[in-house]
Amino acid sequence: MLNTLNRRSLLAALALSASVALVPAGAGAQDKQKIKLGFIGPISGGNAQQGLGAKNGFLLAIDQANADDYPYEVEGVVLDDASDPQTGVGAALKLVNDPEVVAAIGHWNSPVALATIPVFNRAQMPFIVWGAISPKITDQNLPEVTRVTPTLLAENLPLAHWAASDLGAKKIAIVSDTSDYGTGNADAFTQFFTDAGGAIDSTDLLPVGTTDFRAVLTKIKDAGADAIYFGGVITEAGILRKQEEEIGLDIPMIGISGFYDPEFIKLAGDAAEGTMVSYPAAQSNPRLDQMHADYDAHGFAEPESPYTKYAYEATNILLTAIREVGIDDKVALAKAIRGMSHEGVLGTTTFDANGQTEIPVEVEIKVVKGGEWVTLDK
Amino acid sequence: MDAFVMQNLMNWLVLSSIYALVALGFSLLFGVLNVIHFSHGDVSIVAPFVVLATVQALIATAFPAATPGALVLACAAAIVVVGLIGVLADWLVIRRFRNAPAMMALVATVALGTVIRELIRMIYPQGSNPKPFPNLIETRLMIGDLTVPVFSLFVIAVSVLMMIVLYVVMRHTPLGMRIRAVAEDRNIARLMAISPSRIYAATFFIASAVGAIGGIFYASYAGVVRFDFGIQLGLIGFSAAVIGGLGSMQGAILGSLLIAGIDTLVQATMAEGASYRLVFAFLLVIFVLVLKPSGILGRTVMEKV
Repeated sequence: MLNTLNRRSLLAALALSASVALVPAGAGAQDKQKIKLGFIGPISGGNAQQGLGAKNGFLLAIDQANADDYPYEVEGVVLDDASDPQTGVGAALKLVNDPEVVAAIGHWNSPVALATIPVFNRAQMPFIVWGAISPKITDQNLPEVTRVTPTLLAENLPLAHWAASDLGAKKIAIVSDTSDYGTGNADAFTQFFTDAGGAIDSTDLLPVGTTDFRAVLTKIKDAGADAIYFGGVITEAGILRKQEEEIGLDIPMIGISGFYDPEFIKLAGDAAEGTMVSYPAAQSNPRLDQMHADYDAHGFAEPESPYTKYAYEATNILLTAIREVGIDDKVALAKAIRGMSHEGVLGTTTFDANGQTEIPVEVEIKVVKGGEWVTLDK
Repeated sequence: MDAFVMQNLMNWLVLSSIYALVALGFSLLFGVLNVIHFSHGDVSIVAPFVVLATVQALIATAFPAATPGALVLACAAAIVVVGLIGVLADWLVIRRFRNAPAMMALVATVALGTVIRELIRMIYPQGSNPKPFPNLIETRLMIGDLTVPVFSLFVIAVSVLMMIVLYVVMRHTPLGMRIRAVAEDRNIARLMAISPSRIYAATFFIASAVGAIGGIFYASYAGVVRFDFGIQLGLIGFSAAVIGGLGSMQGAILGSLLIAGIDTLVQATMAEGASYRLVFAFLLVIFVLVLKPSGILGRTVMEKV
């Protein structure tokens, strides 16, 4: 008993002396409090390209803040959700349980975001969604949650109108996955396309991880649809497109940003040619150009992905809010984010009553040509 | 017959063939060793990764560009390598449970499957991501409205050939006779100067090499491969073997035809059937097991006391 007590007090004394010894050194350099910001996204698995690009956007914003005269020393905590809700919740719990983490951004996959936002809500940790686009995420209006990307409604509406008029499709077959994202897309496109005067031939929802679409494609071929709308993400999109060509089904495949990714072209190979997606039009502003240049100069291992700028912007919004309100009052911090009018790479971001970005979306059509995504000429 | 039905028939036969190649391994191993090798699907899916790695190595050294020759060589290498991995799995893990209840080996191989998946993920560069897998034969035949990939015909032909070869090996060669002798009674076989451990190794090699062909076909048919594809491939192969009757080769083939049949049928005929294809496939498994627990062609399993 006495022995342990002695050992303990000895340890305490040691620790004390160590901290005493350390403090002057720290103060001598720069007396900045250390804080952490969290990032969650798919950095492994089929959607990893999207997550890795966004992760780099997040780290870039933090590095720039640290190099600048930011009042805190910021450390980025990067966690993988592997596009899996369970893994995502694990990562979210890790962030909210770390007292140094002030706020976080996350998720490319809507099902993952829908699983983790209650965790951030319970912990009252401000959370900005940089990639997941299901309307349900902001429909819940959790005070901590905001989103810098447009919802899938904003991408599906112009696509449906374009498909009905420019593409001239009358009957479209929908293939999607069974997740919230996939069913959300299927519902949204069905409504917008029928409103635009088209007809939906069939709707087939397959679980994420499906590797054989031939039976469904055979059915679509037999029914004679004018085009296929795919409402899922990259891996399945690549497989579907490849098998569509193999089965001799020569109709266009269209979709939204969910598989706007070079990896899709790699997976589908030559069959990817002519695939069309709607994607928020590239804005050009000096800040965005600066970010592209900074990204290249930073020397990341992975190329920029379409969501790099969203993650970069989300991180900057967090950093700005933290600079204004500090880190002690999380509720005030969340409020500050919502009330913010942020000038950044996306333009002027403001949030509506539900925490959804109010930046108007102008959508353009991207098409695979010569093994690359290019913007379709009007 | 119209193109729709023909195309679906084609899909059905190709899927059945791929499943059968995996199911045969389950059946063979159960028949001989009384072992349910649950990581058989994972062992099989190693094959496409070996193919991809070998092709890259060949292109870097012997062949200037991706030629059919490199692909064929890579497939051959993968079949042998995966056969040996099967032997290794037995030697490292499964043989330790020879005298234990069958349940022990089953649980051990479930764990082994996880180990194999994670090893693929770690060893293969960026192993978490799906890898595009080449179509083994690109040519397609156009018969009227019907597009028939030569690859599909090839898969069916190879599977039928493998079934015949397996049958001949098991029934009409000294090796097959020894395998059956060991399956019948390991101790008596030993008295007849047959070394059971060699027979086990041979059986694992055959089952895993056949599974490797199934794995390569599966990846090529899907067009991509990912480290965890072995789970579903194994589960479906195992279910096919169980429906047909574990231990019966004909049963494995019949089971594969049934599972792939219901899979294709549900998707082709039911509205929104695609969402429930696996539900129906596994309902079939339950249905068969309730009616005939030993499988359709299975022998009744006697509990060894």
